[in-house]
Amino acid sequence: MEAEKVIELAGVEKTFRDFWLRPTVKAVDGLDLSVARGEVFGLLGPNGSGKSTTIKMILGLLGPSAGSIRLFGLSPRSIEARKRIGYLPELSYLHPFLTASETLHYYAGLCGLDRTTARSRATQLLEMVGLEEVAGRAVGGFSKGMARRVALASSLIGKPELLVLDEPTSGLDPVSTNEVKTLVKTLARGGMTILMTSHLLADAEDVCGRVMIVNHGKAVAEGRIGEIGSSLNEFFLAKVGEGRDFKVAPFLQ
Amino acid sequence: MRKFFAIARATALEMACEPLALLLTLSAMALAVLTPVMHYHQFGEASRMARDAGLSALLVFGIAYGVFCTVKSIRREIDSGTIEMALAHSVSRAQFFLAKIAGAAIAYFVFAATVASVSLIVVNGAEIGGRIAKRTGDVAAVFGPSRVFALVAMVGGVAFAAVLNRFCRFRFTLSATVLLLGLSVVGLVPYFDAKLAARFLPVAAELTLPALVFIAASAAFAVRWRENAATTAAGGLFLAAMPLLGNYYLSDVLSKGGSLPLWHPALAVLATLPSIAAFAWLGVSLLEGRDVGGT
Amino acid sequence: MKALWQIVKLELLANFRSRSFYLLTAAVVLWMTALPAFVKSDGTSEGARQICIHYSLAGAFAMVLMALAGAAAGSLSRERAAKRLQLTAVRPVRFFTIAAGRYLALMLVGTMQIALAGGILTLKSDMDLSRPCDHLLSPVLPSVWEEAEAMYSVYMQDEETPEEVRKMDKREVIRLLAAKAPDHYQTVATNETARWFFPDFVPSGAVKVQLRFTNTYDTREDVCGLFRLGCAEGVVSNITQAVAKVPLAGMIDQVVGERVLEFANQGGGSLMLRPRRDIKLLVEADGFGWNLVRALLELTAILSVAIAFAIFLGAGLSRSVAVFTVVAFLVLALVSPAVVEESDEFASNKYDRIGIRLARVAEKITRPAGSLAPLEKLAGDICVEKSEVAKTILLDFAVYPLVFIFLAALAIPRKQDLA
Repeated sequence: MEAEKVIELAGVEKTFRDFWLRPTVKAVDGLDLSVARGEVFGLLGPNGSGKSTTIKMILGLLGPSAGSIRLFGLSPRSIEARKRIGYLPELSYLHPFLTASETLHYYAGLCGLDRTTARSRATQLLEMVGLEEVAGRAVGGFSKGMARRVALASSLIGKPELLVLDEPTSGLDPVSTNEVKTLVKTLARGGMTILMTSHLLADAEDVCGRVMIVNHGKAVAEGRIGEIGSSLNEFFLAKVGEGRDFKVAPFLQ
Repeated sequence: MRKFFAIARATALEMACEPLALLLTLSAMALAVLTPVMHYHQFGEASRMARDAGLSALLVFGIAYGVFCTVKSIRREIDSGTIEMALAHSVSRAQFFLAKIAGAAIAYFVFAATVASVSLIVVNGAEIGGRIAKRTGDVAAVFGPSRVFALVAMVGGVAFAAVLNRFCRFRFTLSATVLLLGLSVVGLVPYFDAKLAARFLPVAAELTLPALVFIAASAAFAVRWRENAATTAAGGLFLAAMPLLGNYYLSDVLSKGGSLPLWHPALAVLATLPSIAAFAWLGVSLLEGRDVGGT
Repeated sequence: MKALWQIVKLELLANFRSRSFYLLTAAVVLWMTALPAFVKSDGTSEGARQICIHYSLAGAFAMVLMALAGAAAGSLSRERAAKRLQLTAVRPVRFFTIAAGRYLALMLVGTMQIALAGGILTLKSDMDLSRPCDHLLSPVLPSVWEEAEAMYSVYMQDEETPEEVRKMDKREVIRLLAAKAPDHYQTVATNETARWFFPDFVPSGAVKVQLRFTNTYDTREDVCGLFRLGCAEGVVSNITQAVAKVPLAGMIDQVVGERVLEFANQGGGSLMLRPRRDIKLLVEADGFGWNLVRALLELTAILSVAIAFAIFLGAGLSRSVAVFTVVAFLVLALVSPAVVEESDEFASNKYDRIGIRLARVAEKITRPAGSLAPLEKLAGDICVEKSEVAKTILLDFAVYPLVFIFLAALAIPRKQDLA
C-alpha cells in the first residue's frame, strides 16, 4: 500500500513581481514534489536555486503563482494543516525580551496546548536541547548556537507530524551539528516526516532518505541516497555543475 | 578627505532614498501650500499666512526630517553591521561619525531648498494676488495660480517619478526628491521677485540652523541608544529648546515689511556652531567608547 | 482563545520590558503633576481646575495617543521586518487573531495610562468629585435643511448675494445655507418676548438657562430680561460675561411634552442670539466623578480607533511610513474641524471651495479620532451623556476596530516580505 502523502507539489511556479506587477525573478519553475509520511526528505541546491521559496510556499507564507500545493491533502494556509507542522527557519528570529521558557510557552499557546502540557513539554524540550540551566534568561543575550537550540525546541513544542528545517545546522559547531543530526534521525524513527534544506551535503547524506536537487527553480535530479551510486557531493556537482573559477582581477596578480 | 566624502555621499543618497524622507518633504510642501485654506485670507493676510506656513514647515518638518533620517541611518549602520565594513577600511571613528553628519546635512539641504522654493512661490503669488485684490476691491483668492502651480509641481513631480520608475527603472524616491526640487526651483522663475527673495531667504537660511543642531544631536543619541529611544531623546530636546527657536521673531520681522539685519544670521551661526560642535564631540566620544560588531 | 491570549501576553511583555513604557508612564505622571505648577492661571481654584483638565489631562491624553498609535503602527511592521511574524504565521493561528491580540494588548496599556492620568486628576485638591454637572438641552428647531429651503429665495433676492453664487446650482446653495444655519441670528427687540421649545425632561435638581447674548453694536452693553419656564423664573441683568448661566427659581411643572422657555427683553436695545448655539437649558445630572469616568471612556474609545487604524497600517506598510501616516492622520483629525468650522464657502472662489471641500472630507474621515469634546464638556461641567458614550463605545470599541483588524488580517498575508 502506498504511504500517505504529506506534501504534494504539482507544477508549482513562483514569480516575484515589483510594484508595477512586472516579473522580477522566477524563483520556482514547474516544480513537482511529493513527500510520504515518515520520510526524511532533503531539498538541496546552490544559493538562489529556490529552496527557501519552495519551503515558504509549502508553509503557506508565500502563495504560488501557478500549480498546486497540498499539505496533508489540505491547503497550506488552512488552520488544520498548520496544526500539524513545525518550522525552523534559517535564522532563529526570536523575541529578544522573552526568556527561553517563555518563548516555548508562547509557541505552545499558539499551538493551543493547555498549561500543564505546555509546561511539561517546555521542560522536556529545554532539557533535550541542553538549555534547562538558562531557561529563565532572556534569549536576546544568547549566543547564535543557543538561540538556534531554542528555535529548534520551539518548532517541536506542538509535536508536529511534519517538521520543516531550513538549514538546521547553520551557525552550529561540529558537536552541536552532530547532536541535531542525531535528533533528526531519532524523530524520523518515531514516524515524524521531515523536510530539510542544507548546504552541507554530508549532513544531508547522513540524515536524508531521499533528496531532490533544484537549480534555477527547477528539479534537476531526485533519488534515494542509497541509489545515487556515488557520493552525494559528486552527484550534486554532476547535476548542478562545477561552478566557475574566479578570474583574479589583474591588479591583484 | 576622499573617505569622508564617500561616506557623506552614501549617507545623503541613503536618506534621499528613504520613503519617510519623501513623505516629510511632501508634507512640508503641502503645509506651505495648503495651510491658508483657513479663513484668514479674508482680511488680506494670505501673504502672511503663506510666509508663516512655509517657514514653520521648514523649521518643524526640517527638524523632524533631520532627526528621523539621521537616527535611522546611524542605527542601520550599527545594527546591520555595515559600520564594521567601513571601520575595516582604515576610516577612523571620528571621520565616520562626522561624515555621517555631513551626509545627513546635505540631504537636509535638498529638503530645505525644496520647501523654501515652494514657499517663496506661494508667498510671492499671494503678495501679487493681494495687490490685485486691493486694486479691484475683491477678496484675494487663496488658491491663486501660484498655489495651483505649486500643487501641480508636487503631484507632477511624484507622478513623473512613478513614470520614470515604471519605464526606466529609476529609483522612485530618489527621482521624486530630485524632481520636486527641480520643479520648485523652475517654478520660481515666473514668480521670482528679487526683493522678496532678499528678505525671505536669509530668514529661511537661519531657520535651517536648528535642524543642523538636531542632526548632530540625534546622530550622537543614535550612537548610544536604539531608534525609539534616540528619537524620543531628540523629541525631548526639541520640546526643551522650542522657546529658543525664535521662529516668531523672524516671521514678525518679515510681517512688518522689514528684512533681517545682517548681524542676526551671523550671530545665529555663532550661537549654533558650538552646539553642533558639542554634539559632534559627544557623538565621536560615544562611538569611540562603544563596541561595534556585537551580535 | 489560547492563541489570542498568548499574543496579548507577548505584546504586553514587549511593552512592560521596554524602556518606552516606563518613559511614557513617567511623562504622564510628570505632565499631570508638574505642568499645573508651570502654567500661569488666574489664581483662582476654578482657573487651576481648568488648567488641570484643559492642559494636563488633554496633554497627557495626546502623549498617550501619539505614543500608542506609533507603537501600534510599529507592532506588526517591526515583527515582519525582523522576520518573527513568519514564525507566528506558520502556527495554527488566524491572521485576525494576530492583529486582534496586538490591538487588545495595546488597548490595555493605553487604558492603564489614561486611568493613571484620570486617577492623578482626582487626587488634585481642586477636583471635587461631587461637584454637579448638567445635561445640556438644545431648543427644538426646524432642521437646517428646512431652514435653508426657507432662506433660499430670500437669499437669492438679496442684492448683496455675489453673482457667482447666483449662478450656482440650487442644491449646492441650499447645502451651503444649511452649513451656515447654526450661525443664523435671531433678534429680540425691546419689550418683545421670544419663545423656544425644549424637549421634555425630568428636573431632578437645579435648572439653569445658559445664554450668550450680543447687542447689535456692542457685546458689553447691559442686557436685562426675564426668563420663564413653566412657573419658574430667572432674572438676567447687566451681563458682562460672554456666557452666562441664569438659575431658574420656582416650580417647574411636570407636564409631559415640549417645554416652552420664554425670554422677555426688558433692556434698552435689541438683542441678538443664535438659537442653535447660544441658548441652552442646563438640567442637573450627576457629579464630576461619574462625568470624569464617562469622559475617560470616550477618550479610551478615541484611542481604540487610533490603535486599530495604526495596526491596519502596520500590517501593510513599513514601520516608518506607517508611523508617519498615523501621526499625520491624528494631526489632520485635530486640525480639520477648525478648518471646517472657520471656513466660509460663500466668500470664496471656486478654487477655495475645492480646498474647503477637501478639508470637509478630511474632517469626516478623521472624525472618530478627532474629537476632544468630552474634555471640553468635563471642563464646562456639562454631562457627557450616557447615550453618547454608548454610541461611541459601539462604534469606536466595536465597529471601527473590527473593520480595521479585519483589513489588517487581509493585509498580513499579502505582504510578500512576510516570508
